Parts: sequence; C-alpha cells; structure tokens
Amino acid sequence: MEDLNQPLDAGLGSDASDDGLKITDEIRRYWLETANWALFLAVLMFIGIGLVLIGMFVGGMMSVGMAAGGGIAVMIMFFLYALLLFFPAWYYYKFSTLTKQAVNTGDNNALEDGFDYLKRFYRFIGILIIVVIALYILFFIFGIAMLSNFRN
Amino acid sequence: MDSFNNTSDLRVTSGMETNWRITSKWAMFFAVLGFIFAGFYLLGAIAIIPMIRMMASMGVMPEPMASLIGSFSWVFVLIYLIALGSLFFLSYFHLKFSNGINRAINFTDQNAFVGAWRNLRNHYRLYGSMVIVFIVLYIVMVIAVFSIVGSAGGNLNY
Repeated sequence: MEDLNQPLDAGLGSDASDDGLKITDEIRRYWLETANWALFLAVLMFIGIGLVLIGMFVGGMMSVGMAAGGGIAVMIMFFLYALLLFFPAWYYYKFSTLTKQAVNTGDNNALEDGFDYLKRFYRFIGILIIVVIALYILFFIFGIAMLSNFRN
Repeated sequence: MDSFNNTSDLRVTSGMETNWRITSKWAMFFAVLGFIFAGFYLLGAIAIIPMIRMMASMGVMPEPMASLIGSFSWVFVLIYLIALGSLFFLSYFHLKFSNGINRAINFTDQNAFVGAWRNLRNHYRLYGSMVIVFIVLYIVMVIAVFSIVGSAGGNLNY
C-alpha cells in the first residue's frame, strides 16, 4: 500500500541527486516492450544469417566450375554479407536480454550495458547507411565519368 | 521515498545519458533520412501507380502479371500507401524520441523522459508489426504467383 500521507516534494530533495530523472513503472513497461520487439528483430536477423550461410554453400558449390576462383569469390561475398548482418543482430539481442534482466531484477549495470548495445546498434546502422550512400554517389560519379569517356 | 522510487534500484547514470545522447543523434539522422525517402516514395507513388494501371490495361505486361495487376491494382496501391505511411511514422517516432530524450537530459524534464521512451516503444511496435505484415504478404504473394503460374501452365503450348 502506498503511503500517501507525505509532502508532495518527497523524494525531490536529497534523493533526487542523480539528475532527477526517475525510472517509473511506465518507463519500465516501455523498455520491456521495446526489448521484446528488438529480440524478435534479432531472431529474424539470425534466421537471415542462417539463410545467407546456406546460400554461401549452395552458391559456392554451383559456381565452383564456372571460373578460376569463382566459387571462392562467391563464398567470400556471402560470408561478408552474413558478417554484416551478424553485428546488428548481436547488438539487438544483447540490448534485449540485458534490458529485460535489468527491469526484472533491478540490475543497474545490466541497464547501462543494455543501452550501450542499443547505442552500438544505432551507430553501426548509421555508419553502414553513410557508407552505402557514399558508395552510391561514388558509383554515380564513376558512371558519368565512364559515359563521357565513351563519347570522346 | 520507496513508493516514489518504485522500490527499484534502477537509476539514471551519466554513462546512460551519454549513450542516450549518441543514440538520439543517430535516431535523428535516421528520422531525417526516413522523411527524405518518404518524400521520394510519395513522388514515386504519384508517378508509378497510374503507370502500373495503364500498363495493365494496355496489355504491355506478360499475361499472368497483367491480369493479376489489372484485377488487384487497388491492392498494390494500398500496400504502397501503407508502406509510405509506415515509413513516415517510423521516422516521426524516431524524431520524437530524439527530441524527447535530449529535452529530458538537458532540462531534467520527467514528462519528456517518459514521452521519449513511449515514442521509442511506438517506433519498435510499428517496425515489428510492419515486418510481420510484410512477411505474411510475401508468403501470400509467393503462393498466389505459384497458383497462377500453375493454372496458366496447363494452357501454355510451346
């Protein structure tokens, strides 16, 4: 039972030394749901990695006879793709499990680590997007340069 | 005291605040990119949807495709609009999360703090639901294409 017979500013004095932001039940519910969706996405990504690895072996087998080292090149490409998928999936998975653990047991270190993994996920995807956009622009410039070369 | 703190040991630490700030910057980046792409999608919708309908009515496309698009073109329009709306709201929730968490840390604003996490939750809820819907749609389309090709296969004379 809550003790309602206390001043309105209870807990805002010495207890509010840690920046005043309180982790309420509402916030913990949001964190739990966010963590559950992140786990779902992580599982899907892990399934995707499995499919890519199957593709790596099938594609490698099929393209072995096509060209010298062709099978190896295809397999390396698939493997790089799987590696690229692995990091975000792993970060989501760690964020999800650590945050759930923190909310359920009140473990502050787990909470801090959980949000560290969420940050890593966002940073990874952000850098990936920047790299992809840069590559697009680079290919675009190369394409234009090649076209103008053909004309001369 | 305990009732206010919900008997929890969870506290906001400076390490978390640093992580949240970095996360919110990337979230803002994704939001801006998302809005730009939503704009492109909208332009594309204005151009592509009449084109698909026209092509279907002119008979430019191979047969199973044309009759499929001709009779179900509203489905394609609907899927396109849902995708556009989802992209917009995904970015919108990211934007609100980013603004809220920065406001919460800078001004110790508890309401903004709660709102920020609600918006991140909304983002992930929409994202997850969208993924589920698109997986289901993908399976339905694969089954539809196979059944159409299968039924057309009997009429093909090569």
